[in-house]
Amino acid sequence: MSNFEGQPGNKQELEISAQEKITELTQQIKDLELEKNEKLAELDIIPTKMKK
Amino acid sequence: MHQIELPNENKLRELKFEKAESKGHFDLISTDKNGNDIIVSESDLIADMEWGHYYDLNHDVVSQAHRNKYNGFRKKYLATAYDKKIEELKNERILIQRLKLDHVDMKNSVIGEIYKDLLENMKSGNERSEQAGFLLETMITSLLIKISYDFSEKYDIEVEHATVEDDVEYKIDLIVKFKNKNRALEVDGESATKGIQLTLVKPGSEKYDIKKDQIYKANSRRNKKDKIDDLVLISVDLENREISKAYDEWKKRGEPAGGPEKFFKTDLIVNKILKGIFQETELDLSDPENKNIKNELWEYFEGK
Repeated sequence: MSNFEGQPGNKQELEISAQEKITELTQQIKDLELEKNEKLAELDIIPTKMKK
Repeated sequence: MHQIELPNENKLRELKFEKAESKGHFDLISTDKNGNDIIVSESDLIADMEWGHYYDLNHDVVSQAHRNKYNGFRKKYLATAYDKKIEELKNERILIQRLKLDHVDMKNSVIGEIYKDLLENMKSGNERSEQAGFLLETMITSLLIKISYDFSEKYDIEVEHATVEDDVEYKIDLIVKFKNKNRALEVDGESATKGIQLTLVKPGSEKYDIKKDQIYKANSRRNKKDKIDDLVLISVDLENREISKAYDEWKKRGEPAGGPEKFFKTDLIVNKILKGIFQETELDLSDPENKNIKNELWEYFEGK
């Protein structure tokens, strides 16, 4: 959970802050999607590498 | 073995693996609060994410013969955990967009207040609501996830969570995709995606009529090209006490794997819940042609 508080003094500042938070969340979502695919790809090669 | 690290902050629950080579399978075993071992299924563990419970799948104790199957499960588990985390962030993004940029609270104070409460709730750490309607929604989502996982070759059901926007503005609790059973015959290959609002209110009452009217209005506001084909109100023939009884029992036992729905009687799951959810779909349990499906689901939940 982010620490977005939305406390700036006026509407314009609030909207800039919200826009920044949205951009940050969008980046986090993209990163998680990439990370998910990388981890799934790692698991694909497990059967030949797993030790007994 | 590659360790898998889940994106969620939740504490991982331990699992034990019981090899049963002679029977040709292995069992996943979870220990309940009282120290009793209970055999759990893969679908129980996946659906348990709905209740905020995650399991440690980093034991390298499964025999070689079962490793491919186990690894397939680990992949599915990992992907689902990531999808849940991504959904959470997407919901947070929607809340900020709707409140801080669209200023929905100034245009519609009722919807605005709901969004504000949801954002507050998210900030405070997503405490689980113990309100009957919310519990019912989670129980039903969890039941459908289990069916979708365990009968994926047969029934072609997919369950999707509604976003906060779907929920607040279009009254959708969950989304279920029913693929056409005649797909193999190439009749039309279409599928039906239903947005479902669940209610404990009984048909015929004034409250039910109000809800029906809300659904009608939400349906007419909906973009016809969106992700659902239809939005339906489903009255589940249950009493609040039946829901809280199962939930209290589950809590009392230390929230064992399988969710509170594990404490529902089979008759209640099949004849009250699933009958309602599947009505007017290819899995309609009231249809005599689907007698076998009904029997199969009955046996499945009897064995759970």
